[in-house]
Amino acid sequence: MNLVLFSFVTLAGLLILRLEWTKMKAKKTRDKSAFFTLLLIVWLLSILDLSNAPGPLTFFEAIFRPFRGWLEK
Amino acid sequence: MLDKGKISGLQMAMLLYPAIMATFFLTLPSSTAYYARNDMWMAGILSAFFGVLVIYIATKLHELFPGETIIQQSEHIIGVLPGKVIGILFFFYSIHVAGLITRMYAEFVTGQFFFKTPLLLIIALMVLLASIAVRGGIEVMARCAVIFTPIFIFPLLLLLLLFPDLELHNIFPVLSRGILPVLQATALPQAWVSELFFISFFLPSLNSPAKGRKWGNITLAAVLLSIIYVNLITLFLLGPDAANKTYPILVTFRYISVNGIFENLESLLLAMWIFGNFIKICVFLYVAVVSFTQILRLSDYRPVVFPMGILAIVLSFWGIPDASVLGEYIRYVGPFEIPAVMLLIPLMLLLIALMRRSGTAKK
Repeated sequence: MNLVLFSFVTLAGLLILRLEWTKMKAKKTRDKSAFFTLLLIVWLLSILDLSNAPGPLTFFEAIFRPFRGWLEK
Repeated sequence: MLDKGKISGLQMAMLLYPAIMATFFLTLPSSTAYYARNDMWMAGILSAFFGVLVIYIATKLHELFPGETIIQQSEHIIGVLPGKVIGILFFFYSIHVAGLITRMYAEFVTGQFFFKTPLLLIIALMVLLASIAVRGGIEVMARCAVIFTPIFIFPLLLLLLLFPDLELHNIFPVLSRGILPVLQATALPQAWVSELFFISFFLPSLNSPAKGRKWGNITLAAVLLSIIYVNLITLFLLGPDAANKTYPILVTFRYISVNGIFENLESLLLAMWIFGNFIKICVFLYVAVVSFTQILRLSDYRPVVFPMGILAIVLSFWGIPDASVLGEYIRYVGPFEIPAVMLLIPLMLLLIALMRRSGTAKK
């Protein structure tokens, strides 16, 4: 867990909630749930030890591994 | 379209030019020289084919389904559910690349200039700025681009000050090692040029969509000329050794010295790099936000801009322990990943759309 990143994301998330909430109240449920889910996903991700966790890079690397030989000298 | 703002063709070109060149041209000469050595300047020419193809696909799709982005088009072409899958892929890809770009930007700034500043601070400040611009809407982004893109292009002209030091014979022998190394060197420029497909997200906001293809091609021409120009200057100054440098352009800028007065111009390069990256991050964030809103059919894209910015920050750390991992990823995965999303999928969509259209016409 990267404590700096985690506290940054938590603080930023709270700040966004505080600033957007007045406008979000009037919106549809669909908008609200998308907004909160996005914030929740980001917050949950920031709990992990992100730098060393397998992520999108690992995913794309595995997909395109067969072509790698074309570019190796 | 969610955003009612309208931009002109020139503004779109000014948005797209840094969106391709910003992260790219600092490392470009080293990756092309790595494969093609003194034939590195040819790499830009060959990637023109991909650029023209990508712009044709985007504008043709927009002719068939006017006023829609690729997210809505794919739902109309292959049905709602498979269309959503492609939309999610586009969203995932654009936010993933937004993370990569911010990380590349921060690695450059901390590695060359601000040695003691934390990475997170540089990333967070830039993403905050980009989020504010994206939240302001496409017109705000376009106006930023009109101001910043000339500032981004101008320092490139300063490279001409190196003219007395250029050794033109570095270009010979031409094609002494065959065409294969040149093709390998084209891998990265063609991938970056494929990013012009993002024109699909700006065409619905153009005030005259019919001119979209013209301005797309103008952007492509400007990008290709810059690639060839930067490659040639680096080749004439450093020779094939450019492959050994991480940021060859930075080295060439450090080399500039006019009568001992104009020196240390790399600080200018940093300023320009920041402007370019600001526009680039804006464009990718905008694409991610628009795709997200259109997939979920939200009523407004503004509330999700800041959460999306935080997601980009998180993604810029995810799975990247240091800069070498990033460099390897861009060299070996990027050349296939970008065209797969930006060229292959839209091409298939266009073919399906054309076949369905001719099928209904026959009936």
